[in-house]
Amino acid sequence: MTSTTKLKVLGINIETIKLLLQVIIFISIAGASISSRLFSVIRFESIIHEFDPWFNFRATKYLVNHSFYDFLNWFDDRTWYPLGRVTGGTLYPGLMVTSGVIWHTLRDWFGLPIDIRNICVLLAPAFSGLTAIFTYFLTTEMKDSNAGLLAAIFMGIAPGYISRSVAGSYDNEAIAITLLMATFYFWIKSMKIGSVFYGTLTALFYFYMVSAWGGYVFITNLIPLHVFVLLLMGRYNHKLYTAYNTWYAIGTLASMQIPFVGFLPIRSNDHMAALGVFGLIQLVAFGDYIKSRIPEKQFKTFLTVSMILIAGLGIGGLIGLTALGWIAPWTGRFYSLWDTSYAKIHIPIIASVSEHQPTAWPAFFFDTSMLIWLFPVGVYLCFQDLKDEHLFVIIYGVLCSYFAGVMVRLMLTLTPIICVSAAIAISKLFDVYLDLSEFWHSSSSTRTKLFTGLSKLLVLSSFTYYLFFFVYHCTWVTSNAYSSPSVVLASKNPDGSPAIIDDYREAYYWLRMNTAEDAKVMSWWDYGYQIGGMADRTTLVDNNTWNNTHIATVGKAMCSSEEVAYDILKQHDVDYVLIIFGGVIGFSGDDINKFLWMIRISEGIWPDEIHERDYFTERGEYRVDGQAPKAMQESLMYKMSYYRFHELFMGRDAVDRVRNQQIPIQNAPELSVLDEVFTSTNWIVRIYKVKDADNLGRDLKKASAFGKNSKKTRIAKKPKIDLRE
Amino acid sequence: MIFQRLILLLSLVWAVIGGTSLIIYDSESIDLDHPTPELLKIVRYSESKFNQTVVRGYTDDDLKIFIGEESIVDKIFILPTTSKKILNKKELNKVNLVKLLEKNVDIVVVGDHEKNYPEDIKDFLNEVGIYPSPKGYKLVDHFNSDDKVKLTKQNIGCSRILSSIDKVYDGQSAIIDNNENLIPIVKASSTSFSTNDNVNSIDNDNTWGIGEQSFVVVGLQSLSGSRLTWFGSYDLIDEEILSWSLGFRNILKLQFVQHHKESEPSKLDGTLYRVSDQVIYTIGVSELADNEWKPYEVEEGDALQLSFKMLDPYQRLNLQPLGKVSSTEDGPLDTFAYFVNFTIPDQHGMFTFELDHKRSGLSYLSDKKVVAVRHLANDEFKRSWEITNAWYYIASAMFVVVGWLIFVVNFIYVSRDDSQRKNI
Amino acid sequence: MKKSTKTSVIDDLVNTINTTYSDYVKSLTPRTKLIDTFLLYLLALGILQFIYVLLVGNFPFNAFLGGFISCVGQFVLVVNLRLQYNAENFKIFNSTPERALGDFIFASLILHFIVYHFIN
Repeated sequence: MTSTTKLKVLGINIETIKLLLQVIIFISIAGASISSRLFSVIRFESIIHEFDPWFNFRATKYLVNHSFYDFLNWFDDRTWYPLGRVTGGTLYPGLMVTSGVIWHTLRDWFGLPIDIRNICVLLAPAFSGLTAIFTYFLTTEMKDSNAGLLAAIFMGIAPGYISRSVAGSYDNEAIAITLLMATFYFWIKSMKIGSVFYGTLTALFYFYMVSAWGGYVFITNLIPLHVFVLLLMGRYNHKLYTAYNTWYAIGTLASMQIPFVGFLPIRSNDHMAALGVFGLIQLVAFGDYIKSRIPEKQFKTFLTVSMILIAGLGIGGLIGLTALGWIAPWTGRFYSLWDTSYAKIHIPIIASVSEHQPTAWPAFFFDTSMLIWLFPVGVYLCFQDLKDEHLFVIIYGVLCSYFAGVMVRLMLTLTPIICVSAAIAISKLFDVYLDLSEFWHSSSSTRTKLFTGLSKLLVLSSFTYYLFFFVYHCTWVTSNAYSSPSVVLASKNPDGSPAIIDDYREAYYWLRMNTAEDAKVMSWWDYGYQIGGMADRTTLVDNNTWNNTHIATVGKAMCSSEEVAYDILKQHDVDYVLIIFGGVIGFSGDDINKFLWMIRISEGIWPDEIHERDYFTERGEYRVDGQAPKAMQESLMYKMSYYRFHELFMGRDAVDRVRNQQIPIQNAPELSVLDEVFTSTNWIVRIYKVKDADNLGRDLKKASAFGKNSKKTRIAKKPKIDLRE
Repeated sequence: MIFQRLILLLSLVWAVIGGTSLIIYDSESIDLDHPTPELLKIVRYSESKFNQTVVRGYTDDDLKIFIGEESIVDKIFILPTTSKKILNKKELNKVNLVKLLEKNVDIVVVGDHEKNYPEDIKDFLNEVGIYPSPKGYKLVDHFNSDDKVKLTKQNIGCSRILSSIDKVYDGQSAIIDNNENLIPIVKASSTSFSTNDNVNSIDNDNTWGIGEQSFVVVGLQSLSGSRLTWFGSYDLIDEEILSWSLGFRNILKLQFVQHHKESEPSKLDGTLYRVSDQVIYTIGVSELADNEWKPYEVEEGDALQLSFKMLDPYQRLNLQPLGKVSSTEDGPLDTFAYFVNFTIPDQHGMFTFELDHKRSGLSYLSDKKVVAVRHLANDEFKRSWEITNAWYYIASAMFVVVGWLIFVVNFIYVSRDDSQRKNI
Repeated sequence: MKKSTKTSVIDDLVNTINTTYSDYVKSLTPRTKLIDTFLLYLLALGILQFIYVLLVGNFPFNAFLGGFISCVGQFVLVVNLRLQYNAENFKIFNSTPERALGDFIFASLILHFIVYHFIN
């Protein structure tokens, strides 16, 4: 229905102008999203942040220094000493392979040898631009390109997404969200057109997503759910059949190529929904075919009989196979999504991660600003327009809202759909209110024109203000909350000037320069990846937390007395012990505050030897001062944290600035199995060396006390010793 | 100052080449111009064995043992004294004595039942686990006519150190604790006891040690290789025991440790193995005897053992004797080689080749080598085409492709036919 | 009364099946005949594999999955092709028959490549 006369402005075709505007907007969106992620690079330096990205960075370095075959079969002997880790088969290689490919391309084809660290740091911002583009395409399928552009802008700078994709946050989510949007876009497109080509593309991008992030299970369940709801609504058509089958067949087969996934798609309960819907859609197709051939009444009876048969077989089969053990039951992580207190009781490691806590209400506004109240409006508008693709938005939005409420971490998966539906809402609003055509064409009275114009102006100006406020909010949140590298802390001196607390890097560099290359460092698992990445030393446990017993062993060593701990340290060939202590500077994320988790986790494995209540006072308080119970005062962690702490206070009682308690000078701890070798500037990181066994075979406590007391014994008393065997 | 340091440094160098021994004696009651026969005997012995013999008294102010953290003596003889005072407490104190043992200095202490030890020496002996009886306590055995203890071959605690003894003894004895590094060389007879009271009946308060719980010569083998020997009195000093105490014999040396895959004998001491690999582990051990290194052959029924462990030993294997080899090119045959050929267990991780050989009277052998054992790579499993079971599936997959090809070709042909028919 | 409804139900079912079958046979063209033969061939292969698994066990599981899924995947892709070739459905799909064939070949090649990688 193209008109014969094309509109021209200044002699240029209106379509060309539109295209030009679109391209300019795309470039500026990409520019905005990339630049708003660069705060930490500008303020500090180009460094990998947090904990998990350090492992990904180390893996990427291994990949570019060795071949892909070596990487796939990499046996990491510098982590989880002495168990080692079969890293090649227990990670998602997508992120590392992407960086490796980019590095190779730049180096070999373009002649630009960029350091792998810079590629890793800047990968997330680069991919965020791509995410915006894919969100544009997805929303265009929903409504039109105006909504698409709005969605792209929102996605580009929404803090919920930025939090996991700043420059330096080299984590799986950096590329996973891009691939999520891409997979969904191709799915919607293939569902609308019914083309096998787009279905294959969906499957290929799904495969890429499976290689990149463990959250691919979300796609595996969302798409079948979408199809299932459509089937229930009676909206079966051949396009749906084509799209889903192509995706399922090729996608599932491809996802089994990743070693970490292996046979899970056939075996685990998480994936059974997709298989079930696959079977269901075959039956529905068959039923639809029959329906088109025979009269209605006969079809009804056929339908009822077959439905009863199938439902019985299906449910019975599922229960039977699970009972026989062929299909693995749902994992703990899955349970903790539905029952928020499940993890705290049964799996303390999952519960102790701060990202797994339930979301507080203000977090929603913090992460998405005004979009959060536009989100339900967008969903409502989808209800009005209820085509197949809108149903997808509704399902995604409702399902993800529940999950985001359960875990803070899942805010990330909610953010894209919030952007999409908010964009739909605003775009619809602008469609109505930006329609200034009646000013030119209509023939209504000036008064109506004035009033309509006034109301339009009012609404438009308020929404323009909201949009500006949105940008301002996002930039402020990014700059203040999500741009800290967490390796380097920033605070203020008493005179107001900025102070940089670089204790972590100072300590890791000391370790790197002053210890043997094969020295083994024991610390709590939070710091494992950083020690492996920055100090390049073998660690006992790290953030991967795949072996609970090993972590519990480290926990037991930390919370037991020196004699018990020494046996564990010697058995594991530990050379150095590293702890974090925030009492001098007031850093509340230190190991004494995490101590309860160490106790709980080790109590889970040795309930006879370690009791959590032993570490509380009789009144049930957690104290480190003079009232601290005996188990607490003798524990290795307490001694390591407060060793020589009194020297800072020149004879008076020491004050712990985090717990706000005073440790009396009589309780100043002494260490006999460890030697202090390093304490950082602000006492945040403290490193101790494990003493060798005594040369004369004495007990180490006795050996360190020798020579200290100068009591003179005038008369030789016969000592009480056991009979010599 | 610098000149003094230079001289001391030179003496250190000289001492290292030939060995320096320090004899600490009671300078207040003995005059060096008229020494007691016991002191003379020790001085003569020391001069015959070592390059330099330094004789100092407890109350001498030029008693020097350390330069900074290094020791300038290799052996120390601590002889009994009447005075309990040590003048140069900075040099000779109990903490330094422990340090000396760590620095491979052998120490010989001689006791006397009529004399007390200086405070530091006594504390040092107690710390090690030797508790000599105080002044006045004597070892008696009323089953003998002269109330003295008969020491014969039965009283020898470690045959490697002392082969025979035939003495009659009454003097100081000691009780020792259960420190595993202590070696009782000569123990008292079962009918003897140590007491300071010959009148009243014996009870816990007036006895020190009873029966075979008393010892008169005790040795200590420290982990660093040095030795401490305590003699109850001058009478018990024996050249055979002294040759052990001063490190002239029964010292073991690990000449070499090698491991390699059986299939790759030229790649020695690799750091990465694979599960189920065949590995050969070879060591060579020498023993010092008469100041010469000789091949060390384990006794009958004994064996050197290799522990292949990761937290717990997965394999404990006795090493097989290989033969006499020499540790240097074209040198004398001074080493005995042992080896073992075994399969790495089916578990990946970081494993340690641990050799731990501790025998009474010999110095300790301890060696650890850590290697990584990796899992099977993805193409080291049995490939699908090698598994007969899989042939069926491979065949059916191929049939699918073949059928598909035929189908596509026919389809294009048929559809062309179809469209032609339509056009007609 | 019940007996008559029961027999009527069975009658209905039998009628359904008969009508469908006769309708189906009538609507066959040479092209769809070819497709249906290929479909039957794939179905037979798949069922044979499944019987083999039940008899012998699924030891090299990846090989079994590879072979089985190649049958299932190919089956599904061919059904897609058939749907797109049905004269009534052309309008819904708004693509040309050549396009459908091209998509089909593309998807099949990818399927085969992955299957071969899987079986290694």
